[in-house]
Amino acid sequence: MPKVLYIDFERCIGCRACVIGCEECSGHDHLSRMFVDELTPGETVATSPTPCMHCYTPLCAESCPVQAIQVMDGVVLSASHEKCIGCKNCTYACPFGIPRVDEAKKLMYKCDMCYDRTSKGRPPMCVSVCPTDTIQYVDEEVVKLKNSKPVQYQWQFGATEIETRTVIGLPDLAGHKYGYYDAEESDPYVGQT
Amino acid sequence: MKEEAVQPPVVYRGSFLRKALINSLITAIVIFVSVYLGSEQFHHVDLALIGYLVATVLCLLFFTMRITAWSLRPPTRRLWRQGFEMMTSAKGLKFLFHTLGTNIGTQKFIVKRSWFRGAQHLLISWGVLFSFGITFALVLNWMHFELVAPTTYEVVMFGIPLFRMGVESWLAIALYHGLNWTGIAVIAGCAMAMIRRVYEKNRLVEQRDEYDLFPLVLLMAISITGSLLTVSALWMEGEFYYGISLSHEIVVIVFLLYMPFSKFWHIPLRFLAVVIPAYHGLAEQKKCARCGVEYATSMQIQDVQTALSKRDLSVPIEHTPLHMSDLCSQCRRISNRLSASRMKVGLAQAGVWVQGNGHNGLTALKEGEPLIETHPEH
Repeated sequence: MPKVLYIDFERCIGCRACVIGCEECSGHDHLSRMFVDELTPGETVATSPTPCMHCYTPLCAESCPVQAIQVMDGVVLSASHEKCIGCKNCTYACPFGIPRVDEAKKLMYKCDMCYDRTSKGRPPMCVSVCPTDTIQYVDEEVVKLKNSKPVQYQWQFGATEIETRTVIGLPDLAGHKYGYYDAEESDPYVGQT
Repeated sequence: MKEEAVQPPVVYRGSFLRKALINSLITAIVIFVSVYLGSEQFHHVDLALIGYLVATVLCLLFFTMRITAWSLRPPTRRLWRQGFEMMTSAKGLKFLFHTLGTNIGTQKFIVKRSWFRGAQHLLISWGVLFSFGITFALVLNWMHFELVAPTTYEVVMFGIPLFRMGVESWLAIALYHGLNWTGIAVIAGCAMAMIRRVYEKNRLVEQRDEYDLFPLVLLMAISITGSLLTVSALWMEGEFYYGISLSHEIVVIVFLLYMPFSKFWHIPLRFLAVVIPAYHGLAEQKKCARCGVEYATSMQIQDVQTALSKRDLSVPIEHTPLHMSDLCSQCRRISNRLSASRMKVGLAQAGVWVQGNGHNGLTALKEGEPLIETHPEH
């Protein structure tokens, strides 16, 4: 069963360990591909990490004029070094705001789910260093279909539906119950609309 | 059993098949005319190079077909058109020549990736490009040498005499061995590239032997067999010359037929890269609909939206004239999270409020919707 990233952003404390860990991953050229954004700066301390969503139909690849972005083993890779022309189409096409372009190297870079690690069965670096389990590396089917929290992995933008491999866990706005639910606990959404 | 009538294939106007046929025909005509003119009405065709000639023609036709397929993709087509339009202005041309110098000439962007990679790529690319220049000029019979006096050669290009030189002059020796000099550069560059690929194997996890290593082996094989021809002629009294010559021809033909479908495909792609600085620099800057930061040009955002729409992959913010690409990357990420938390998101620059559309996208704020305000009460 393929494994995917699961982001339970309610748990994020904004420590940015994932950003630093990503920089240290071999093959990442000390360029972090992870984002930690302050959601309401000056009002709350809420933060959220965002890796690549690894879409099944990646808009970054669809908008690339030189077909530099490839999918390998279910991972949307960074742009191929020899093909990328640094045009930035991918950075604007992605509805999740993920790809970046190194202006000097004329090269797009983005989360490749630490392909060097995941291709050998190890979790990505951001998962390994996250102290609060905000970022998890879990079975795709389990996290999408058997999660006790409501999750996002199908995104409807007008008539366009995008399915992503990365899954986002939503805050419990119905039960106002924080964070992680153990399997033994009752589902806070049972009986609620 | 009833036999069904075989229908001829329908060639739709604007289809790949039709365009590929037309472009291939144009390429074939251009090659034929250039060979006709270059060889002075076929008087100077070098029959020893006929195998190379057939492979070169096939290579150029394969390239034409692949370039046709590539340029039919909406984002590619759009960028080519914008590039051609921008190059009609003086500013555009200035950008073009500057970028040709830095991107193709000195390849600064690869040197920035690492000086070792820069050096190896400069050696390989200039070695290969000069080799192409010499090989294509000889194989397509655009250029030949004529003995105009017992010790004087005349270099003739497309039937036009260019200059004369002594058969044993320094210039002549430099020219005869042109492919040896480029071969040495290619061998050095390929050796550096192979060393890097072996030593950095753990970092280059995405590399594949057939895609990344085989082209290096092929280039080395061409350069080594080519150089051995000179070694055989100069220092071995022509020993093994025929065998080496045949081996060289075989690897060159394999290379020419393999080139359009291999890693070497990035060579034509690089010529699209020269329009990028003008594309980013000449058009009016656009502000993010949420935070107001200038993050792109209006022209490029429009182009991306058009390209996605042609692929039926538009990502609009419902009930507004906006698309997700009208927000900067950071505002896209934040807006997705805020709407997931059932908060309303103000797109101040566009003067609209948006919220989640119930299916993880965004839509204009609906009146009376119970949303969390900017100070959520938990």
